[in-house]
Amino acid sequence: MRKLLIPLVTLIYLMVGVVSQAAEPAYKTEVWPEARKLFWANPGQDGKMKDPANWRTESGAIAEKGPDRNTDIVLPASDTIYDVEGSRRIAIRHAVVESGARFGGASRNSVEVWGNIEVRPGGRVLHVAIRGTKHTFVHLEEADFPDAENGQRLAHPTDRVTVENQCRSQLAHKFQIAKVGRASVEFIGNIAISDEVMLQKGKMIVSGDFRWSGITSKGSLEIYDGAILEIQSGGRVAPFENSNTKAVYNLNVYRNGTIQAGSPERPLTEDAYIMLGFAENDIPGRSGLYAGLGSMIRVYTSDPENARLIVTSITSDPEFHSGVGKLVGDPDTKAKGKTGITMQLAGDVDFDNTVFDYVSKGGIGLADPSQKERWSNVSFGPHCAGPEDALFSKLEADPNSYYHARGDMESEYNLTVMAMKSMDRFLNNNDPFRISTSPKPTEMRELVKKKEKITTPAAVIFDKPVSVKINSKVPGAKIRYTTDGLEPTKDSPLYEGPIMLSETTRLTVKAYKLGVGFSPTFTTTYVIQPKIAAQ
Amino acid sequence: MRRYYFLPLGAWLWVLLLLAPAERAQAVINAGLQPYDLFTSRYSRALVLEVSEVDPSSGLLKTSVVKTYKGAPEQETEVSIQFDASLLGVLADALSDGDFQQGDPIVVFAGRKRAKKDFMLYANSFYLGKIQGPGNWTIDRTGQGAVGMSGEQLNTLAGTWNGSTPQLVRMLEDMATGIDFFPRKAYVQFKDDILLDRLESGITAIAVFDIEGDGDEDIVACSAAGDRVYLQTDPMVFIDATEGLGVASSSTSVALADYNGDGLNDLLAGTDLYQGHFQDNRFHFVKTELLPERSTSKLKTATFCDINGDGFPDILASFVDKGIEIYLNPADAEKKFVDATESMGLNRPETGAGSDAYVTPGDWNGDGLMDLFLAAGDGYLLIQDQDGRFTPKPHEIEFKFTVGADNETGITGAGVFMPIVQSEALDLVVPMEESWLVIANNDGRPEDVTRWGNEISEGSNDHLSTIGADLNLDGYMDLFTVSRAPNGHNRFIINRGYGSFMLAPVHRHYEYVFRGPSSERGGLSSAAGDLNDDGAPDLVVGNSHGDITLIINDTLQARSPIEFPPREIKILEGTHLLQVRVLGTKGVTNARLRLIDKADVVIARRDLGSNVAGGSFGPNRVSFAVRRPDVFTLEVRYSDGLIQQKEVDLTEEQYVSINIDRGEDLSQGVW
Repeated sequence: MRKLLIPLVTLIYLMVGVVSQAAEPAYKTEVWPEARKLFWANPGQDGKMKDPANWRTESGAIAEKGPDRNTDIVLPASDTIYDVEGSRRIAIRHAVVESGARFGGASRNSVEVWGNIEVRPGGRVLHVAIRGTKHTFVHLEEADFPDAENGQRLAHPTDRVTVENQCRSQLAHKFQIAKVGRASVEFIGNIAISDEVMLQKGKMIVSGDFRWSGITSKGSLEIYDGAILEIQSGGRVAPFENSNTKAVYNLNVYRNGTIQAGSPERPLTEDAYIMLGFAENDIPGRSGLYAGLGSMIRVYTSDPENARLIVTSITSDPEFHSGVGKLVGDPDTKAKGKTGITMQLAGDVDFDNTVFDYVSKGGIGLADPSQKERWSNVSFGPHCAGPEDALFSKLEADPNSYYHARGDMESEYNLTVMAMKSMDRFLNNNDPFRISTSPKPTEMRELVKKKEKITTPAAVIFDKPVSVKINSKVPGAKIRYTTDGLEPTKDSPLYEGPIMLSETTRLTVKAYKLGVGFSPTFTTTYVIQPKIAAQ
Repeated sequence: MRRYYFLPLGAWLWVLLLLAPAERAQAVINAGLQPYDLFTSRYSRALVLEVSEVDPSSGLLKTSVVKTYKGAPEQETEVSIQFDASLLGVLADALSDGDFQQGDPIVVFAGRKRAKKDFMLYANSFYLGKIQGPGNWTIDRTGQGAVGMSGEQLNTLAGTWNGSTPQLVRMLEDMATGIDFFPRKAYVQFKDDILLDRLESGITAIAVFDIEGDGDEDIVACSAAGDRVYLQTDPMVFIDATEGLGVASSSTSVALADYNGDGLNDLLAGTDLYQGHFQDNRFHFVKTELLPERSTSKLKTATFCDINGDGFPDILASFVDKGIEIYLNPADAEKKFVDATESMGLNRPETGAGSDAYVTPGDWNGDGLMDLFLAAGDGYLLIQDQDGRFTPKPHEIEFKFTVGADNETGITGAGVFMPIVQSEALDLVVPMEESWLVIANNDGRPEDVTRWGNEISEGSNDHLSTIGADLNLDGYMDLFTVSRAPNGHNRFIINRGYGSFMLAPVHRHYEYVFRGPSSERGGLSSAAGDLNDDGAPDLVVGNSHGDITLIINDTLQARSPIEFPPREIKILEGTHLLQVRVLGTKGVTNARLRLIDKADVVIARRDLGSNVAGGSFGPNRVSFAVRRPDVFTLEVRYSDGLIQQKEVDLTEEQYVSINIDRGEDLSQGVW
């Protein structure tokens, strides 16, 4: 491993970092057009969101219709707690939720939020889904995670939890994010998801503490279809639980998904964390990180010494509690044998500027053993299960997969399909470019698991260089692209004909035409691996 | 008028035939017996003779064998054909009609299976006879088809072939090489009508055009109740964006083009000129005052047309009782258009000045400059010379553009220049009150070939305007004509190739062609364009009731492969589509597209800006249906002369869609 060498790319990031340290979070740069604003007519009284009679306009008149995707809502403070009940058919833009107000759906992903969510102390939002074309944020002020002291716990949609025990940091049970192109949502403060998170399209930025799988042990954070999980300076992503019985990884990135610590335009200025479950890995997937073919992991830092990615165990934080408030943290526990954190890495993974700790023996499984030779500025903490060489092993998992070893894939997949239909309806209306590439980098793959059977896309593995054509529905659109995962700019290569790709490549595409404007950023990955294809 | 001697009272029976209602038209084309049948199964020989000498008094016709397409070449190189004495009058009549002239070709099918000495001869009409010996033939019957008083067929040859002999020779050549296509049926079908909108007054003009440039065709409809613009925001979802786009006009005609070369489309609604703008990521129109002082005469139609071939769209207008006016584009976005009517010689009576008539643009003589046809008086075919002046071309064609007992003018005659008789040159189709005229372009000489067109002469009423498009996707340009009568039948004429036509609904192959009701509610306007992006041109019809109807072409779906398809269907199933969108800041409006094969033969030609005579407008995209998929050269000649070529491989994909541009960068530094 070339620990002492700082490759050119790092130097570039360093330079970029110097000029970019002051980069504003994207949501702060967003410009929002004027929109209708509705106020809850009777703070303190429950009601349905869709009923216009429950809303007042800024002039105080009764609203003619309920909120829609272009409506901002304000739920004023009240001494009496009140519930504003949404439904799956409702979409809103911004939401301001003040003390005593609680809004959301009765169950999973009930209300689509296309703008910002600001929840003031004492307010609560539950069962929402994130959509949209713009950079937004979610900020739950003074929202704690469950612990032994506060008595709070996360709730399943079917649970009846007393108000005192309800956890204000819980945003959803099954949580879905689907934004257009690289539009982002930044999570500020503590965010808890009681089951799993599906991040499809768009970018999720964590600058606070983001946790999932709080009341079930089988939830994971899934990143795919061009989506990006960006962990920002000080940010932490973590499951609530150490291990599970369903053999599902904590964090799955595959099929065009990306995990990055920092970003080229906003590199790390302090450490960022991926925290994984500390488990006995009798089979792959009791916990850990899975990076399938077509995925990418990167670290962008402005300070390689003090601003790194820390890949560690949730036990490393002595104050870490589970979703039901039980203490999990025990920093003195050391990895031993197969017990610790694990990773199965088949994608385009560059763990530069990274510190690993609590890694089990052979806990870093690599499809390509030479992959680690390309990583720079990597170190290992004192809680790993042996010397560096003992921590690496050959990949055991299927390198090209979707949910792993799950018995209930179908319900999650259906939610995914449903969310995408919602986005597609919007995209079809608003994305005349409809960029695509050929040959197709994904193909439908049938997964059979017990009685369940689902068909999901999987990466196509090309065994030789491939000539890629970029298609746009807009005639005469000027298309620019990058092959390094970065957002295309007007200085990026112009697409003038099929591009020959000879190694696994992340293709990022953006188009423009006078009269039509810019397209959403389109990302796809071509996996070219002769060896794996040969197998 | 041809006379027929084989029938008692033949002359007045023929009159009855001509006056027969459209339903009787089924007798005109005999789908069960076509030249292909004669060639492949009925006769063992097919050859072409050439007339060398004819003696009307003795009825002796001397010919030489020019080519044998089927059967072993016989010993005979010279053939004498003796007409029976009872047919001397027939021969004399044929000679007076210009048939059997020295050097004329004659098609012969000889050697019937059960009567090997029988032959059938076609020289603009069928004749039947016997081979008496080598080089010694006799004719004893004519085979002209006709229908009896009670509708019975009097001769089984009726409708076998009614075209000209040279076209049959051409077909014979194609049959010999297996590339002929002469459909017996109208293999075409449209979906249920979609009523896009209903306005408070009649729809006088329709445009199908991609307004903002996003690749989906949009629709503009003009009416006295206000013009409406419908943007296609989602596949086949049209949103009324009139106000949002800044359009506020009420017009009788519409056209779209980038007149100022800024990369954005502009709108001409009547005499209101709107400029396209793109600000704050939003496309919209801004009305300009760049046209000359508005004429006091009532506007009939106005369209974008690159009259002078500089690439910048000019304005071609027709005013009631004034005739044609032309406003030349100054090629400067800030300057006004210039009235060039007088300088181009269009203010003279001999060019139709003062008439109330529709004007049709097209490059008749192929010199790259736009020529015009004005549907007034005896018909003005106006040829533009290199100095930009129009001169009427003499012709002997019997146009008639008056309508009804009161001889109203300015009601019909909105035609279209398009390739019919040959694939490269532009012919002319002109609707008249009850029929159409097909004017072939015979090396620049206009020639009325309507009489060969089978059902092109079948009656209809109140023809207003005709547009051309290959609606049944067989490679031949078809015709669609709206009838201005409130409940008139809009006519869809299938071009069968080789100068022959048939009425689509009469000869339908599928259960229906149109499912209505719009096809029987008349029309004031129509435009063709591929609304749903499947490669097949669709129709948009506006009628006097204010209905804007989308008639979506379902032909490709109807053509799903079937087991053991008949030959014609098999050919259609193997037809591949090429759709081409022409992009650029100049020369698009009247760009000419040609598809050229490896032997450098132009197999198809399409001209943008053709379907405008009735005040409507089509897209800057055309479809080529190619029956013999291969690798071709697509040539686009922009109206300013710039030629772009691209090799297109149609062998793999059934539908190929490409864009052709001028190689410009329109991103203005943004991208």
